[in-house]
Amino acid sequence: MARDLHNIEDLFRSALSDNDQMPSAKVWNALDSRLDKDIVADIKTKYKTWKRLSLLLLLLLIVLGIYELNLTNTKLVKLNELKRIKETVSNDGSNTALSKLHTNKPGNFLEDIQSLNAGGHFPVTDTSKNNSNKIITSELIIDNPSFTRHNNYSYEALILPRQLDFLLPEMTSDAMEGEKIPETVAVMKKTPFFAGSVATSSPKREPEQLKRFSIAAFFSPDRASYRLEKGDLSTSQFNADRIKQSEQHEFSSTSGILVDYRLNSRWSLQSGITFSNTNISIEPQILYAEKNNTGDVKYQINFSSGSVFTLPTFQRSPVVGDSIYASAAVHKLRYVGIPVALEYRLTKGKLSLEVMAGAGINILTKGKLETELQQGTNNEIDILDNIQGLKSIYINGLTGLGANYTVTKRISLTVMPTARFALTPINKGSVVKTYPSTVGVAIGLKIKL
Amino acid sequence: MLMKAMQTEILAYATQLIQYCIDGDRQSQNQLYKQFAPRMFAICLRYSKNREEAEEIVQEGFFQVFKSLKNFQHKGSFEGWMQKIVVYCAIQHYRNKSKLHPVVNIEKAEVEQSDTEDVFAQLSKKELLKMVQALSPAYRMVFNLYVFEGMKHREIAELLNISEGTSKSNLFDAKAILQRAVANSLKIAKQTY
Repeated sequence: MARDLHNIEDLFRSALSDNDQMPSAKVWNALDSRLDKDIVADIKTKYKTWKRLSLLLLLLLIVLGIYELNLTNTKLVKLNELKRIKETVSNDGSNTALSKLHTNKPGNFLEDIQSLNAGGHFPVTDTSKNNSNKIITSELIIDNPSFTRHNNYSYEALILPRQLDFLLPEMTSDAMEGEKIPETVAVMKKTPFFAGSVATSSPKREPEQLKRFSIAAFFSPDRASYRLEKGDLSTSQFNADRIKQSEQHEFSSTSGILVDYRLNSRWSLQSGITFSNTNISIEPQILYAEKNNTGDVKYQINFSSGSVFTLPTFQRSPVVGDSIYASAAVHKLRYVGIPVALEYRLTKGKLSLEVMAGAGINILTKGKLETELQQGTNNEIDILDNIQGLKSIYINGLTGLGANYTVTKRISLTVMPTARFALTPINKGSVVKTYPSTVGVAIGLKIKL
Repeated sequence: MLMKAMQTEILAYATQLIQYCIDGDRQSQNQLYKQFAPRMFAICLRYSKNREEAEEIVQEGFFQVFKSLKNFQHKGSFEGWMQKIVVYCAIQHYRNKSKLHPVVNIEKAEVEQSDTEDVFAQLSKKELLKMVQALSPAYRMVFNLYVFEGMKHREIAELLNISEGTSKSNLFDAKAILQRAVANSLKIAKQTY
């Protein structure tokens, strides 16, 4: 029995080990379509990273925007008050001093104002003459709270928010322990008064202007790629896979001039003009004669930007199906772009970090294909600029994260890795829909105007 | 000398073809498929209960092969590497569909003593394949792994997540069933002729 079992193993091993047979054609078809789906999935995964990064930057911008808006609103009143006080004090000369005025119910703006308006006797802590570090407390009679004269001095009552009382450093710590720190401080501005003169505010000096405009020139060597989707004219012979396999991106670049308009110290709007240059080479291929839109029979080249028809001088009358060899080809695309972006800046010393996101419109200025056609001993170089299916405009999104180094007061160097990705295809009515994208490091010089 | 030169050329061609497949060139993938599909399909037929299932497995196997090609180290036989993936896919297929427990009761039948070479002559490959396919999944897996892949019971047990004893028992039962099936086929063949 054991010998029989052993024989069974040998029998099956020898009979079935070379039982080769081809599976049905549907296996390859199913595999083919599954591999297509896998490529699409791979592309989606690849672009998902960029989409996530862009979304993250956008969210970051929104959060920073809300924070900044909130901060600006809160600070606005205080800043205006500070500006007014600073101007008042700094323009009045060396003999001007601020003294703390003790109102009846200190600590509340309205109550302080009411006390002052009511007039009367107010104790004053005078810090202007305390050379021997003594705080002199005296009493001031106020008839008119807005302007009072006494012993050759004019007095003007001011109300400072507590946050601005650094103007009176000696007085910030006089709240009793456990006592609520007042929100406002009543202050008396004391100015020497001479006969014939009236203590009025000096002419206002123009505040220093924020340099709102800056201009930057940049150059960015780019790593270009594209996403190809099935186009209206896709066939089994000409499709996204085949085109992608036959093409290779060559050196590409973007340069331009951008103008920044600073909305405030952190936010700015950016726009300008960019010039992009993309070169894509195509592997040698056999071209077939096809009828074009006008009914002429010419040799057709399909590529990622669209298609062109050509007729070499050495073969003027091909028939449909005739073939010719294109030894090599390269297609070049030039666009002028107008980007609009929002930029957020965090500055520390001479260095500032910038986050940028926006969109742009790109206008085609040149699209051409150069190829060398060969047949037998004949050969000819054709330059074809009538690319069918190539749109004149497409929209792209852009996002970047970079650094800016201030060299002089007006000039700074900027380095910003930037990603640009098409939001609309660059072509229509062709074998593929092409969405180009680039990743590059923009290096530039920025001048404040 | 000529043989060596030819081998080098074949190796270079295969390496180039594999590289094109890694790059996603569909024509090359099709070429590789055409070259190895008959061999891999033969394996899948042994691991499945019918042709349809074998096609499912071979499709999955080639998909995994194309996805894993970049990991192929060019050490050892490419066909062997591919075969391992396909066999693993076959095992996965049955893991997903059923538990690997025997479901067939073996009827103890008297088996006619026969010579292997005679059996060869009288039974077609198709008939023998049908006998293997008729085995329960558990028996079929163990029988294939032991007889065709040359695996030890310990390795089979680890791979199928069963005990070594179960593997041995499944192999014994599978061989008994096949032996009976061969005997029956021979009986019918003798009666016919």
